[in-house]
Amino acid sequence: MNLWRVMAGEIGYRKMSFAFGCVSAAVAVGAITCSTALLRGHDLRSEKLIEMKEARTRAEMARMEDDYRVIMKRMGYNVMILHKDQDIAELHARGYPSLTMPESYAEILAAAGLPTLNHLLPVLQQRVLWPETDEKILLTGVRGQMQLPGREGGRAPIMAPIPAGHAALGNAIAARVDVTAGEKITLMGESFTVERVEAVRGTADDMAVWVGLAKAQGWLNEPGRINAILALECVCHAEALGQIVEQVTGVLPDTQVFEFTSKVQGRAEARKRATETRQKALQAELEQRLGLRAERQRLMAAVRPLAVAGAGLWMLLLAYGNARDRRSEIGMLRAIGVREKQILVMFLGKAALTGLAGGVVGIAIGLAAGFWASGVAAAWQQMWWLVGGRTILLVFMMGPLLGCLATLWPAIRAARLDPAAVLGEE
Amino acid sequence: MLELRDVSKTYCGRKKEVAALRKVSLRLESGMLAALQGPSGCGKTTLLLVAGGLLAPDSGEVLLDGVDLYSLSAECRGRRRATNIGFVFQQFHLIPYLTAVENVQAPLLASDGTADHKYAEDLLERFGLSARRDHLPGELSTGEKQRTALARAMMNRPGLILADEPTGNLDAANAAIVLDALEQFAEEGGAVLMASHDERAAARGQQLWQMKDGCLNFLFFPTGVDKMPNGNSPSVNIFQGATRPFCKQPKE
Repeated sequence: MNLWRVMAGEIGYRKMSFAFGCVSAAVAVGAITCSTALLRGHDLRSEKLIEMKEARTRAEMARMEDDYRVIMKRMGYNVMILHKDQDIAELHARGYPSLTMPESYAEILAAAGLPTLNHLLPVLQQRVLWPETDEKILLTGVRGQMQLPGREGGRAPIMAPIPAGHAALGNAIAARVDVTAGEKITLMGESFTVERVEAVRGTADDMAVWVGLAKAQGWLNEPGRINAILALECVCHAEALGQIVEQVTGVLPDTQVFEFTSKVQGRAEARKRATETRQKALQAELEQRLGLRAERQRLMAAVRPLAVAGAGLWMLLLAYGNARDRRSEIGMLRAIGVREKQILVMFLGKAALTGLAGGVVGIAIGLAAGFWASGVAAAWQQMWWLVGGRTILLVFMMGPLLGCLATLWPAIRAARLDPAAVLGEE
Repeated sequence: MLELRDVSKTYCGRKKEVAALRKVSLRLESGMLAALQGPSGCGKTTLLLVAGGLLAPDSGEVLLDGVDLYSLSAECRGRRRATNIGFVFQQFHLIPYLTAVENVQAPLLASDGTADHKYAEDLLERFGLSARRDHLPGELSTGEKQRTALARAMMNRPGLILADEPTGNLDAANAAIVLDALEQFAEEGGAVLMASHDERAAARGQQLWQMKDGCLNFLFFPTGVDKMPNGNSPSVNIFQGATRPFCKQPKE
């Protein structure tokens, strides 16, 4: 015979009282667990939502980047690398660079692999008379785009190479001489097949005739020389503009970089604005989630103490009723010499067991309810991890502690019960 | 064994005071069964509670084996009760969720852990309750409940049993079993102080005391008793103060 046997017997005998006690502890512990799980679930959901939106933004930005790339590509080259002594005013007056530089510069620049430059195209241009048609054309010799190490795999070049015996015509000159792709033309006394007619560009290119670089170098008496390297600059932010000058002149000191700034800047700024808009949307979402969390936290701050106090009061009333029901038994036990401390242990031990049982149920229900309410689908192990072992341990201890605190006063009253008063009632 | 010297106890009610014991003196030796009679409210239960160390008197001494119980701390007094005194109540006070054998073993809760658990089985057998050992009190008859309570009182092998109306709720057959057990306990060297209205119980007493308005008066030795189990003459077991025919009655 020992106190644990007495406790176990009493719990079995007064099942309803024990069950109500467990429910009270479960409510208190469940409220704490549920609210914690709800907030953590909310955090998790927010994290996932923001992550999802960020991923979507990244994907949209990548798509936008690609769209811009395509658009910019269609817009044509936005950077021209010229001889360092090329007078820009003269360039604008003539419509093409007057000074030439070695063709090998293109190879050197391509080998440098500058990340912001794509589609390098060495050209030799000069305005000449097309004697057979009496039209002034921009004769442009091209050798096809340079192969850049590790890039442009599968990407179509802006300007496809012109095979020997072929020529490409700008849209305006083709219209003036009334030729279309596949027809034969005579240029500088030589016969060429029209490879293609370019689309309208609205620039001097509309009056250009493209032939192989070597052919142009021969006609213009500039063997092994070019007067420009055209390129497509890819910068992601307007702030990056200007960096390209340093990069190119670092590789080719005898050159200067002429940027079609408006094109580059427009592209970068549009992208920057789109990024900012996205980030603002994300920030607004985040703020809304944080606001909702704060609101829930305020609600929890009110609900938690109420639940604990209500459950504690209910446990106190149950313990008080229990002690009253057991007056005769306690009186007899005190009469036969059972000590006050033992009576206290009997009541508090039962309260701790009640709190423990209720606490376990409360934790399970609280976790499930919290995650269900926060709309997070997670496995049990994840829930456990998300709420945190420390929190679980704390609420696990809370059940017995609440039970003992609520039962303390009735237990002390029972322990101090005067056996003479009880036995004398007969 | 038990000696009460000029013990007085007054209850303070809301309107008036009630003197439950007025300078009561009594001496009970081992091997003696004393019966206590008196009308309801005369102070019998108060006398038993005081004698059992459960209710401190306002004055006087209660000596158990020569030690004044109320000079001891509450804890020491409790220990004394646990080891030296067994209680039997009219309402049994069995613990409803413990089986008969567990109820008998209940005094072991207060013991130092060296108690003989098997002795409970012996007691159940002695009181014809072996077949009922695993029954809850609610499943026992009234007589079985009282026998269980009696076995519980004897569990710690006390020297003194204080019984308050032990046959009050019993039929003749069960009352006889209980009285036989108490008598046997006394014959084996224990002392029994039994308060009862029951004439059958009174007839078993080797001393018969009557209480009236808080005064204790020795009446007589029942017929046929002239020697105590320890061989002494009954008269030497009676404390001097208790031989007065009647104490002074309170003024109306």
